[in-house]
Amino acid sequence: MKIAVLSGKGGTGKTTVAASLASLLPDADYIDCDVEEPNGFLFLSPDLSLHDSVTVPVPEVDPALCTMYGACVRACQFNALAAVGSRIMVFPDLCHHCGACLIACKPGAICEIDQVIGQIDRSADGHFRQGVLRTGQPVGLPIIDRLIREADPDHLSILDAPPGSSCPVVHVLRSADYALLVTEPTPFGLHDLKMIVSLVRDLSLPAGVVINKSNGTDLIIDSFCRQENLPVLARIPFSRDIAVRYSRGYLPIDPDSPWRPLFNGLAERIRKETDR
Amino acid sequence: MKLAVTTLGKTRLDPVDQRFGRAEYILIFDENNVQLDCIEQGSLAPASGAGIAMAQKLIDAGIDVLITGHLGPNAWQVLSASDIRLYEAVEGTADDQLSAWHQDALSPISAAGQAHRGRS
Repeated sequence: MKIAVLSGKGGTGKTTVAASLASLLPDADYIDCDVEEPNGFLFLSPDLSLHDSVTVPVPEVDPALCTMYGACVRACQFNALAAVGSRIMVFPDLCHHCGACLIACKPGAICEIDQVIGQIDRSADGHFRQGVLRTGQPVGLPIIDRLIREADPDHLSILDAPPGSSCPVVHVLRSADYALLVTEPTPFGLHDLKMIVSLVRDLSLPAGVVINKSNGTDLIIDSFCRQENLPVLARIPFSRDIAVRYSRGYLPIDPDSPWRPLFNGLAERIRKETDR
Repeated sequence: MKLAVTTLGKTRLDPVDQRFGRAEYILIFDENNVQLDCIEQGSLAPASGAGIAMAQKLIDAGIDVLITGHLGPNAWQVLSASDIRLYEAVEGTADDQLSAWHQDALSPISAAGQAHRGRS
């Protein structure tokens, strides 16, 4: 079972909710899929002793076999290759690793070499994993795909998704069994919630909403959820205490926290929703 | 001999386009200022690698001289490895570039500019 925690809008509290749930649900795995800026480790303090490199295949041209015919350049839809003078230039950052150049090259002058784009960090007990994209690398999707592929299907996995509703989020969502949508009662929160709901509908995923920074009434979110028939599973109050805890790297479910019952209730609601 | 000038319109009286990869038009002239061709690009510029693709187009067209505004790092890498001589455009029309080139008044482009500068 994989539960994806998403929001559309950044800064609504995905990581707070995802990390809190991963702590409260027994034997849950926490997987930080926000590979451009993973931050769940700040709150869960895992040991992160294991590291694997993530590589993508990029073309390399053997000048001894290359005839400078240029079929590879014409085959590339991303302009990652150029034929200049007597050599083929490769721009690895533009490569989408599709292998078209390899197929187009009749003399077989192109082979693929592995380029490291980032890594996956794991805790020794396997309950915490995060992807980290190298600075300067443009595309983290291969890291997200591998994080999800390596998730233990017999475990409950909490997938902390990146913000937005574009490709990285789609790659997280399409493997998920349930979508937990974290939002806030602001026009921006609602706008991005709508985008993510339309994505969830396209993928026919069951979903529930958590309203963070709740003002108690949350009218704009409530009326949208009623209209969309989306259950509101919890309201986390707009609280200075939660913000102070967050700024110190503590979750609102730490043992001394008055918010623990609220999150226990959310965990219970999710268990019921996903048992259906 | 072929000279290419990036422009905002399809005639020699149109102003120069400071962008290279995402230039609206490329006008091609011979050394006697006769216009040989007009490559129209406009919104057809590719989503990624526009500078590389345009550089390849000019290499394939056998261009000898390019007069443009800014070259991004990728376009610079391709063009500086080619035989095309690169000149920084002065303010004005395509015709102004040609006369400046004939008077030897254009400065060569000797380094890459900022990436994605011409992205709209």
